[in-house]
Amino acid sequence: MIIENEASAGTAESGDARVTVRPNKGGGLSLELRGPSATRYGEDIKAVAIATLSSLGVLDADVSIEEKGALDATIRARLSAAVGRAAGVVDIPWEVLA
Amino acid sequence: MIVNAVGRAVPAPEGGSAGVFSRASERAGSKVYDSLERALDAVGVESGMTVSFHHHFREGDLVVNAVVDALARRGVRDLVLAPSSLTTAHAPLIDRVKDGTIRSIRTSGLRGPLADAISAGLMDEPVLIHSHGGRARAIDSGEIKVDMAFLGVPACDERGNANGTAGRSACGSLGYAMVDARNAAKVVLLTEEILPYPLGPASIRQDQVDAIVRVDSVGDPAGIGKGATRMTRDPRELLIASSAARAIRAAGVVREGYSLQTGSGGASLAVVRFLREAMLELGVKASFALGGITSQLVRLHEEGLVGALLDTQSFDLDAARSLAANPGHREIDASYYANPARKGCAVDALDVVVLSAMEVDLDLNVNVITGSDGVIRGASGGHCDTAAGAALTVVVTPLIRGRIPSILDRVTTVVTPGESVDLLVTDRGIAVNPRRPELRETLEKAGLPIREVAWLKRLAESYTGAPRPVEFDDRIVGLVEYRDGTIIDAIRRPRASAL
Amino acid sequence: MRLRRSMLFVPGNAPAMLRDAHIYGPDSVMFDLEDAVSPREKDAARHLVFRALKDYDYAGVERIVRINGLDSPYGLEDVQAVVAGGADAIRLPKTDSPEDVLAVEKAVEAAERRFGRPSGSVGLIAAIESARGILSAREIASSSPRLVAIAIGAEDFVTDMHTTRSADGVELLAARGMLVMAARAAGIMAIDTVFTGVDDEEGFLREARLAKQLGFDGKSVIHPSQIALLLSVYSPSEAELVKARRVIAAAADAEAKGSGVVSLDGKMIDKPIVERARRVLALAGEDQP
Repeated sequence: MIIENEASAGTAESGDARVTVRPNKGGGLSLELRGPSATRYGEDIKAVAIATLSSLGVLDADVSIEEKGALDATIRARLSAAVGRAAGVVDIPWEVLA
Repeated sequence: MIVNAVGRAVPAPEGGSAGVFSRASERAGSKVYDSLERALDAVGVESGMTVSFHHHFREGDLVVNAVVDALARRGVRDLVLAPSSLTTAHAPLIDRVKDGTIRSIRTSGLRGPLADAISAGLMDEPVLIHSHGGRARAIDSGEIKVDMAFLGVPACDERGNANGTAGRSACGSLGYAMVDARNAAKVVLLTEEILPYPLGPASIRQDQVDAIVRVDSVGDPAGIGKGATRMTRDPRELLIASSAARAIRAAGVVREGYSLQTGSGGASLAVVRFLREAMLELGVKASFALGGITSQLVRLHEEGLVGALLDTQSFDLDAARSLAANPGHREIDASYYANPARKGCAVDALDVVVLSAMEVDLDLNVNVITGSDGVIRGASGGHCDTAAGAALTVVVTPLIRGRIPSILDRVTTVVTPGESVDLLVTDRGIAVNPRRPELRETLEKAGLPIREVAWLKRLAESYTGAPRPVEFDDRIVGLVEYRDGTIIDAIRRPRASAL
Repeated sequence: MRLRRSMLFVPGNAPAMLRDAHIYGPDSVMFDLEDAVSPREKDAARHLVFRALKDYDYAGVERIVRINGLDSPYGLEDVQAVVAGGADAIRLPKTDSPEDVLAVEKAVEAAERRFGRPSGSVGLIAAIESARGILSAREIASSSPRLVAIAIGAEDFVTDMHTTRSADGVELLAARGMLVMAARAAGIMAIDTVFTGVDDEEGFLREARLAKQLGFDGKSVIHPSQIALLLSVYSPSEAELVKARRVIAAAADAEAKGSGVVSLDGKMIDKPIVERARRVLALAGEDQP
C-alpha cells in the first residue's frame, strides 16, 4: 500500500496504542516507539510493526507508536488500521494479515 | 538525717539537696510556641540527628517538607530522616538531599519524584526500606534512636495530649506516630487546633511532648483521605476478589470468631465484599479486622459482622469518624500491630490476610517496592509482617498489567519471602505454595482452578512475550529489611539507558 | 449441546477487554462492531476484532461478532474481517425480514470461499428489534440453516412500539412469546435482550427468571457481573438434578430391556418428562447415557 496521507489509529488508554503513519516517499520505513513497555519489549514491538508493514506491502512510511501497555495483537491492529486510513484503502486484504 | 523544708527529719539523700521541693510543674501553655522556629530554638536542634515523622496525612502531608526546610534554614546538616513513609508529596526533599541537609533515609514507602531520584543515585547512602513492624521493632529497641519526632496532629490540648479524631483535618488512627512519641528523645507536635484540656483519648500524651506549634495546616484534606474508599467496579479486580474469597472460604477460614486483614486497593479491598456475603450465608462473625481500616470494614463492624476494628491507619474519613464514634473501633500502635521482637503482636493472631503484589516469582516471593523498570515506587508497609503472622496469606494480582506480566522467574526485589505466602490468586487461576499440599487438595476438591505458578507465568507470557530483563549497574540505592532487621534484598540502580 | 445462557457483549474498540473476555465465564463472547463503536472508529474496531479472533485463545468459549447491518457502509467489510478472523457466529442487528438474513448468508458464503473456510462454518444469530421483525419471526427463524438462534433487542423494539421498558416487562411480553415460539418451531435457540441496570441485581434476576420461564435459552449481558446471576437462574437445583438423573436412568433401563414404557416409582414417565430431564442435565453440564 502507498501511504498518501498522515493518519492515526488507537487511543492513549491503558492496554492500547496510538499509531500514526506519515508518507515517506522513497525514504523506506522509519519507526519511532515510545511508552512504558518500550524498555522491556521495544525490540518485540518494532519487529511486529515491521512485519505488519511488510505484509501490507508498505515500503515507505514514517511510523510512530505511542504504546500504553499494548499487546502485539493491538499494535498490529492499530498499525493496520492506520495504514488503511493513510492509504485510503477500504477493502483490507485480510488474507495477508493472517 | 537532715531536716527538710517542711520541718521533717528524713535521711539525707546522697549528694542531693533536701531543702527545696521542685516547683517546676508545667505551667499551662508553656509548651506552646507561636512558630516552628521558636519551638526549634527551645528543643535545640543539631546536625546529624535522627528525625522522625508519620504518614497519617498520606499524600496530603505538609509537615515533613516544612520541618526539613526549617532545619535547613538553620544550617542543620546530615540528618537521618526516619519517617514511617514518604509519598509523592515529598518531592521537595530532593533539594534537601542535594544541599546536604539530609544524609540518610529510612522509611517503609517511597514514591514519586523523590523515589525516582533516589533510584537514579541521588543519595550516597542507600535508602533503608523497612516494614511497619520492622520500624516499630527498630525504634522500640533503640536500633533507630530517634532524637526528635515531629508529629503533625489535627488537634491537641495545650499540654500535648493529642489524637487523630478531633479537629478539621481528622486522619483517624495515629498508630505509627504513637511509637515515635513514646521513644523519641524530644517530641514536637505540629497542630492545626489547640482544644481545651484535657483532650481525650490521648493517643499521644502530655508526658511525651516537649513542644507544641500551632500551624495553619498540617495537610491538604484532598490528599489525606476521601470520604469513603470506593469499591472497585473493574470486572477483573472483582473476579480476582471473588476467587480469593471462594478460596478463603474453601480453606475453612470463614468460621465464627475468625480474624482478617485486607489491603486498601482494588482486588484486595473488594475481597471484603465477598467475605461479607460468605459470612451472611454461613451465619458467622469475625472477631476482629486488623491494620488499615476502610469504610467497607466499618460497615461490617457496624452491621455486627466484625467484632473489633484494630486500626493502625484509617484509610478514609468514614474510618476516622468510626474511630471516634465506635467503642469497638480501637486505635493500635505499630508495635501492637506488627513488632516481631516484643512479647506479642496482632498480626500473629490473624487467620487470613489478603495482600496485593506488583510482582510474584516462581518461589512466590513478592515485590511491592520496585516497578517493572526497577525504579522504587511502592511501600513495604505491613506486607511481610502480616504474611509472616497470618495463618493463611493470600496474594492477589492480575496476571498482566498493561503489557507487563506479574509473574516472573525472579522478582526484581524481594520484600516478602515466598515461604510466608500460601496462595497466589490471579484472574486466570490460583497457585498454592507447594509447602501446603493439604491446602491444595482442599481447594481442588472445592472445584477451584488450581494451577502451577509456572503455568500461570507461561500463560502470561503467551500474551506479552518474555520481557527483557531490566539492566542494573552495581550501585546500590536501597536496602530492603525484613521485619526482623535482616537485609532481605538490595535495590540496584537501573542502567541510565533503560530509563 | 452448546449452552448459550449468557452472551457477554464486549465493545469492539476496547483492546484490554477483548483480550480475555471469556475469563468471566460466559457461554459466548460477543464482540460488538455495531452500537458500541462510533462511526469514525468502525474500521479500527474491525482490525482489533479481527486480531482478537486470530491471536487470542478463548478456551473454547463461542466467539460471536455483532456486525453492522448490510444496509450501512460497514456491514460488508465487517463480514470479511469476521469470517477471515475465524468467528464462530455472526449476529445480525435489526433483522426485519428473511431477506435480511439471506443477504448476510450470501455475503458470508462468499467470504468463506474467499478465506478458505468450510462452507457453512460460520453460524448466524438474527436479532429482531422491531414490530415488523417480530411479526416475521417465524419466517426469519427458518430462513437459513446457518441460524443457531434468534434474539430480541428490546431498546429499539419498545421505541418502535411507542412505549418504554418497565420493571415487569409487560410491553415485551407478546414479543418475547412470539420470538420463543418462532425459535422453537424452527428448532433453534431464543436469546433474551440485555438488561441495562448494571447495579440492579434484583431487577436483572426478575427479568432473567421471566425469560427463562418463557422458554428463552439465555440472555445477552453487558457486564461480567451479570453472568453469575444468569448461571444461578439457569442452574438446576439439587432436587431437580436428582430427579432428572433418576428419570434418565429409568429411561435407559427401559430402553435396555426393549420396553417402550418408562416407569419410575410405579408411575409411568411420559416422553416430555424424559425430554425435560435431559435439558436439566444438559444445563448442569452432565453427561447423559
